[in-house]
Amino acid sequence: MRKTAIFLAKDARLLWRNRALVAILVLYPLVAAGIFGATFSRTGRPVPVGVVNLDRPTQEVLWMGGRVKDLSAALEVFNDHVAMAVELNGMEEARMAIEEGRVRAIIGIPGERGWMGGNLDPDLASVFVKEFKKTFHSFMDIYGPEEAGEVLGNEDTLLLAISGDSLPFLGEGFWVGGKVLDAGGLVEAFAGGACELRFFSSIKEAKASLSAGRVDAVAVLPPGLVHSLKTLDDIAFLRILLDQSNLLKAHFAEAGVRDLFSRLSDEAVRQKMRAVVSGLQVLVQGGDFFGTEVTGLGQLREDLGRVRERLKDLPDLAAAVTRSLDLADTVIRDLDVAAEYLRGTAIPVELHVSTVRGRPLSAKDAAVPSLVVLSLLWSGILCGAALMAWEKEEGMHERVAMTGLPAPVPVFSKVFLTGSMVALQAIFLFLLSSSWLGMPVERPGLILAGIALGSFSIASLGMVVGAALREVSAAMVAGAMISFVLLFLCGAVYPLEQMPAFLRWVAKMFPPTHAQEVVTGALLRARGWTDLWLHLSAMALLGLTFAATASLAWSRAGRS
Amino acid sequence: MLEGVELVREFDGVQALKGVTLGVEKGEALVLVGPNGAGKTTFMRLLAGRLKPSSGCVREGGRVVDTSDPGYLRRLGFVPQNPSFYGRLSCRENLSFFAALYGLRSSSLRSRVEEVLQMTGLSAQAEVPAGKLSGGMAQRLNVAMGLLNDPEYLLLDEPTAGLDPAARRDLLAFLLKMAEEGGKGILVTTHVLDEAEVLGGKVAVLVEGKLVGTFSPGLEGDRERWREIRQMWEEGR
Repeated sequence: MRKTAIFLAKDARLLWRNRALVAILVLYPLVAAGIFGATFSRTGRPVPVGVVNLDRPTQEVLWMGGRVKDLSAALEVFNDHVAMAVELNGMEEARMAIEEGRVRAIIGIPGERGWMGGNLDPDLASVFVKEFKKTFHSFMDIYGPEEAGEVLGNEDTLLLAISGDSLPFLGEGFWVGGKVLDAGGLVEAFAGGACELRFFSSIKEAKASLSAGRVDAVAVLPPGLVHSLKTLDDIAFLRILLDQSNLLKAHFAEAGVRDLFSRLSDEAVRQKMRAVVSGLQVLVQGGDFFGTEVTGLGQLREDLGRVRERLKDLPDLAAAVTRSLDLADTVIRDLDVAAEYLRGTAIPVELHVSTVRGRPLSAKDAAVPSLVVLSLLWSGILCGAALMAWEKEEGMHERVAMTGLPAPVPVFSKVFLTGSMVALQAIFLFLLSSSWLGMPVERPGLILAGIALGSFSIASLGMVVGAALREVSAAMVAGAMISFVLLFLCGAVYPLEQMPAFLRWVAKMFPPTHAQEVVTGALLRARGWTDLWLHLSAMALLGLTFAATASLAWSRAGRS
Repeated sequence: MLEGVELVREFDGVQALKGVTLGVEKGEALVLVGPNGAGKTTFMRLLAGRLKPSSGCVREGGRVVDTSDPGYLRRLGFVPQNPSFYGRLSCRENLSFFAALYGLRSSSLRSRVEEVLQMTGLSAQAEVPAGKLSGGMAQRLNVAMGLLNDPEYLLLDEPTAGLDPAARRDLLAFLLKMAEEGGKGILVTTHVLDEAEVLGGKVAVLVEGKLVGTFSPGLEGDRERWREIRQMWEEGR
């Protein structure tokens, strides 16, 4: 013990006198943690989303189309609704025809690439567009003739262009919370805290802003969006543009946009179902249905009662019609029951996201264990490797061996010194980051045990690296390289569960993976000693194995 | 007497030492001389337990010893060719650290360190970081570290390498004094014949892993043979 203490004191003194090394070992993780902490401290802020509202009255030509499911059905819908359809000679002529107002709608047909045009009755426009959409696999708005030209290159793509003034349903309003809102107002009402909306007048302008990083996503509200939301059997197709040059940013942006539109969609479904239910109720009981007075089947039921009374005196007739009267009664009753059933069940699912910690976690919370493991890894491996290689670089391992000192003494003293230093650093970092990011600390004993065993086992790994090399600089480079690989492998950056099976096994051979499991488990997954003892044992076992390996390497280096 | 008996050491199938038997008595200075690659350092490291022999053994006082035995190692002082110490610790701190590893404590530790500092002429540099010492002073500290445990045998591997003539002379004189007055057995390797003559005691010549012979250049009977060796040496160069 005394000789271990002598070694420990000597190494502590050496470290203290090498301030540059101490700075690299101790200050770097703190600086890195500060930078990471500052980075994560703003997560959860609203995602800046650009919005282009195309659902507004316009005189412009609107292009749309997509992969057609049933070409003959699509052409049939076109021919049924578009009057005086004529063949046009190519896209350019078709475009000129619609832009000059000679036709109100044109269609570009795949295969032979023919073009047709004709007039569209504005009163039939919404039915036409709705029916037309049904013949497509995917239907989307196309932004201008240039993009239409690009889309036309696809074999199964059908194009449609309609004069905006033929679509009277553009810019309709939606009734929400006592107000009638257009498409723009609607997304604003549902943006909540998830998105921070910035409106653009054109897609080009929005795309430029997305490229410049001023917004993280662009949502294009298609012409007729509100009309589709209000129509019972219609679907609105929205196009979302993301900046995927940074996948994490794209992920946050997509989540924010999905959140916004799922709430909007929920409200639309609620309203549609409310309309269905009230329609059924009005149908049964009678009353006002969106301005139309409906008699209601209830009245018919009463009439049927009176008919039955009269039929008592006419048994022959009664025998002939009783079955039909019963059937009519049953239908009315079924409609009544259906209305009740729909009213009770037609509410869309509402998610309440939480975690085993009993509250939703943020990226800030997830950052704390990663910061702790980063500091354990960096300082543990580098300090261990440097202290060990130091002895060899200065030729001291041989001199120490001449004193007859058993090899484990210098190794374990260095493991103890490095481990203590790293553990203190990690604890400091943990307390600092959790208080800075406002995270309540639970199971402190388990977290401390994870940090302590993680520190000692990772320091032992550093000893093995140092024992294999003769120079401090080489050991530092090797240590940094190993730290970098292990940081990815331990699950602090990328989830372990998403890695191939063999990599998961490799990861389990190294202590940072178990340290990450313990700290994350105790801090974020409400796991206790009984759940994590295996990881704690694995760290202890790996630490002893690495320390024994380093001792063996030390004694071999001293005598060959 | 500490002696290597029929020591053979192979490195990757090549024999660096081919059955050398050579020993040093307490109170005697033996100079092991030979050109580079003759096997001097290998012989020294075999005695110091830093290498395991391929065959042969080491005897101390006529008894075969296990060269990895801590008790044996503590009776030796080993001074490697390149000065080795912790550059960021002072001379005193380096010596105190090793004295503590040898089991010395408090006052005995301090007095031994002072003694060694005085013996090696390092008292004035005691607080200087070892990494800032001049070449001669660094070599003195290197020797001082080998003396800390008051060894019965002191093994020095080319201790004068890199020293200026004055420093070399001082160090050799010091070693001679150590042997004569301290009663220690001193084994020094060198590839400079003149140094062998300065030390004056026994000289063993090692060439290509074989012992050519052991001489006492100061003795009448060996002078003629020594002259022949010198001539061969100069011609070989």
